[in-house]
Amino acid sequence: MAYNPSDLRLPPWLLWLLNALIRLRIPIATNWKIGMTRAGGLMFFSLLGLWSAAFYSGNNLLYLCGGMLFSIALMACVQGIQILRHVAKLGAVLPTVLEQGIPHILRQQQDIASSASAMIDVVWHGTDIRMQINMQAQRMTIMAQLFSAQRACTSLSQQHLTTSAPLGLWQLECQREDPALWLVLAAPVIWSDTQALGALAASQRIEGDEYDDLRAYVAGDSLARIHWRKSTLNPDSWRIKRFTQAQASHHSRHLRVDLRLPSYASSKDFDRLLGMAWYWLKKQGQYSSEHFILGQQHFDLAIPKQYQAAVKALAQAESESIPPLQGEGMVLSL
Amino acid sequence: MSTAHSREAELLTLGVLMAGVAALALSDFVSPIYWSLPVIAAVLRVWRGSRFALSEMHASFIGWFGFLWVGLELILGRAWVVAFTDFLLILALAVTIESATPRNHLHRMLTGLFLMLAGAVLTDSVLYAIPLVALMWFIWRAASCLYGLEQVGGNLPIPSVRQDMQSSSIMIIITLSLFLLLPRFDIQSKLQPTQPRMATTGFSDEVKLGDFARDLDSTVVMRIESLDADRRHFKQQIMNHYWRGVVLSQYQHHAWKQRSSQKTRTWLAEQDVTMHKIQPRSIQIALFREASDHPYIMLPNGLTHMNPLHRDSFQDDLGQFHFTQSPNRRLRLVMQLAPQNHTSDIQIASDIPPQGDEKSQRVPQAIQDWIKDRIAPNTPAKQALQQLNQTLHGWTYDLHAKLDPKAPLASFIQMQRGHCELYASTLALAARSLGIPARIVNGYFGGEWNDTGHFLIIRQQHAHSWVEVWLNDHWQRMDPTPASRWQLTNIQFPVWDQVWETVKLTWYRYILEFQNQDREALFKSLIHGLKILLPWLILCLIGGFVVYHLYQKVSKYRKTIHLNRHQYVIDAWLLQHGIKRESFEPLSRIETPQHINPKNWSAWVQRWEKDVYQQKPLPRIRYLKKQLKTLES
Repeated sequence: MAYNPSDLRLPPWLLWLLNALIRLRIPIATNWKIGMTRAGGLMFFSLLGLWSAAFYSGNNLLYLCGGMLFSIALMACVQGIQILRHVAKLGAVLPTVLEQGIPHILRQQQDIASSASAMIDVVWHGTDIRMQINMQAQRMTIMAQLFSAQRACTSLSQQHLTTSAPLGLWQLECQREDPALWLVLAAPVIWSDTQALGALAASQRIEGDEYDDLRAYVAGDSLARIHWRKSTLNPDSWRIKRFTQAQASHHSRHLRVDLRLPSYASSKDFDRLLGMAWYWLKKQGQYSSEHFILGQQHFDLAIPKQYQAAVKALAQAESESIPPLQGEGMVLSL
Repeated sequence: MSTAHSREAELLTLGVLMAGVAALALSDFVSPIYWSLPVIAAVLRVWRGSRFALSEMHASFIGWFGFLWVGLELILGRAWVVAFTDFLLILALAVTIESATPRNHLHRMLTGLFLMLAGAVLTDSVLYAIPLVALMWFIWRAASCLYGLEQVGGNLPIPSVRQDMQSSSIMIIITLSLFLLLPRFDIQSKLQPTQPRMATTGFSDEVKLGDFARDLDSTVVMRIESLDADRRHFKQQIMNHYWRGVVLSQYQHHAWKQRSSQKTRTWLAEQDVTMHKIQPRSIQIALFREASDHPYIMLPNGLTHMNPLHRDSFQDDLGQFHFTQSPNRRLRLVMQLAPQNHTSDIQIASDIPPQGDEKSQRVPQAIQDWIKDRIAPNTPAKQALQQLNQTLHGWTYDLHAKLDPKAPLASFIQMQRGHCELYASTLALAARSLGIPARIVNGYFGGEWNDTGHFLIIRQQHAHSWVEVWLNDHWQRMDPTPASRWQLTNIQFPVWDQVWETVKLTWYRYILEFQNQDREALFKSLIHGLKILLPWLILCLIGGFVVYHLYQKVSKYRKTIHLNRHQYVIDAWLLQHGIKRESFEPLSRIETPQHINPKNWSAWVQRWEKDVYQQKPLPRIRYLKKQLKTLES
């Protein structure tokens, strides 16, 4: 804000008093509070002095001046309330998953029904999840830099919206319900399941030339699977070998994560283990036919709800003392 | 901070400051030299931009200079109010020139607001409403602009003018509602709710013959409105009243002076002033007196009662009514007058017999000669006076008659033309010469009726002199001035003047003088009006509701009919081509009609259905038929 009573070089005691005043929040309705900015503090005292003079003197022009200033203050307050009421629910804007230690920059634009110029601060109660909303004309831009150093799985509900728009006089605070799930997973650790499973790696080696058919190359295909002989005939379209055995083995793959924390391992190692599991889960994506076993929990990733549950379980995973559920597939452990 | 935004902020805060300067400039205490300084600086600032700017320190030198200058003014004896306004305007000059910084924006807004408040105390002009509304607008826009500066993600744009116009109109309604609803407290009854003024009108206690005609301009002295509910006959009742002011008894060296008078009765502030027993059906009037430099209250003939005054006042043996101290504010006096047909019953407010000066028979030779020429010897004094009065009535009224300054009355008698003071002086001195005590009274007569606001205006040009003679043991009024005196007027735009005077009176009546009892009266009249209008209001509401719904139904019906007519044409055409369509069956589902190109048909159907479903205006029936004909070809 470009105007601030501290610019007036007020004496320190007066500034201290003003600061104490602007920390005050007065409830005006259920879930609504009002405070004042420094400029609002000046306005408040101007109004106080002006109305005192008007009441004392009975000067009707002072009544008009007081009415005019009061109407500005009131209108600013009403418009501020309207602005906050027009902010759409923001739970859906939050990323579905945040990764531990990796900042997430959020910048989204939404259309709004009314036209306003305002800056709104959004904080979810009891968290450090903060957003800023820049309202201009009939569009609002939601901006946030989301970061978490810890894994978390939190159900967010209470949200605080604060603005001093449209004049920077009153600090209006609104508390509302905006449910959202805040999932922070361990940072993904890149690994290859082929490295982890020697047996599978070996089976890859015996694939040989017994491929089922050929398909066109797509970005990301392994160079080892390119049928070089057929591809050299037509360099514009490389051909990729497809193996029935490999597909079959792929479909039958599962991942079991052993959540036991040995004495030599630290919580960082545990997060790393979960990061590897998250990497695998992410790689499989939804609707894959894999099964994911996390300690004592089993998830069929082909079912979208179970995939979501798996992600949630990863976010809130704690170390266990017993081995994971029995089953097929790779085992990740410390 | 982007240049365009900072420029806008600068202009808006300058607007706040200039609104304040304009408000204070309306005060009588402000010299145009002082208010023009910040205005010129603002114009230069807008024109030259930051090139016409001083650093904060240099600008503060101007502020300090203003402080010293005002100190000097006070030492030289200037009134403190004037010195204070001078200081405020020099401060405004410094803030105008100061370079635009966030602190400067705040300086401008605070100074502008302070100037506006100073204006509220020091002016009562109706024009004050303009800077007040302008200040509200500029404060809102400037604060909005400053709020948006340097926010996260860049500067926020100011809301559109249209949007702020809506906010402003709501703010004006809130302001007026607060003005109406908030109570007025009688904490400091000595403080008048009206503002002090320096502008003066009125009479002095010593008048040289010939001076009278100098100030007869259109300056308004009093406005008189009726407070009665029935105002139908107010014009007839209030016109042609004499408003008695200063009584002059001593005539020396071609000038009239007031003799020393004695207080006969004192009225304390807040005490009712009763002049005569109240008549059965009296007229109640409110007299809005402009600021005057004399303490006299103009008493209309027929005055019976005055409501309590805000200051101590007294009546003297000349029948004059004084404030103990000349008020320099506008005043609203509530009076009761006897009806027109009873005014003759009300005597002049003095029954003290004539004193030495009034009986003096030292009369200029020219008047004695004139009486000798006109009056036969042994004519009774009273009859002789009537004859002289009649004679004077036949002379010519002339405001600009060239009088001999050494012998004004002699030249007046010789020319037989002059202004009312010469007529009154001649008759008063002639009466004295005949042995009848006499004196002249300066006041006002008649006035100008305002048809727009239905009130009476008394201007400086309605000033008048007449004579009071002691006959039958009381003072009687005689007016020798010819009636042609009242045909003179110098208002250039009478219609505009009437409207403007009505606006002014409305401002004084409903803004400056608004009190608790006015609110009660307003609410009573509102409730009364509502009671009368309530059945009509309900009827209108119901009528409006019915009309609105009917309109909605009709427009929907017309739309349906419109669509149905089109469908009818299409169905008829389809039948001609061997297809019977079910009602509301989409065209896209039916087969291609016989002898029609399928491609053209499907293209047309697609276009038609798009128009129907997107609720676009359908083509006229004529064009639809034409389109269908085209399909056949």
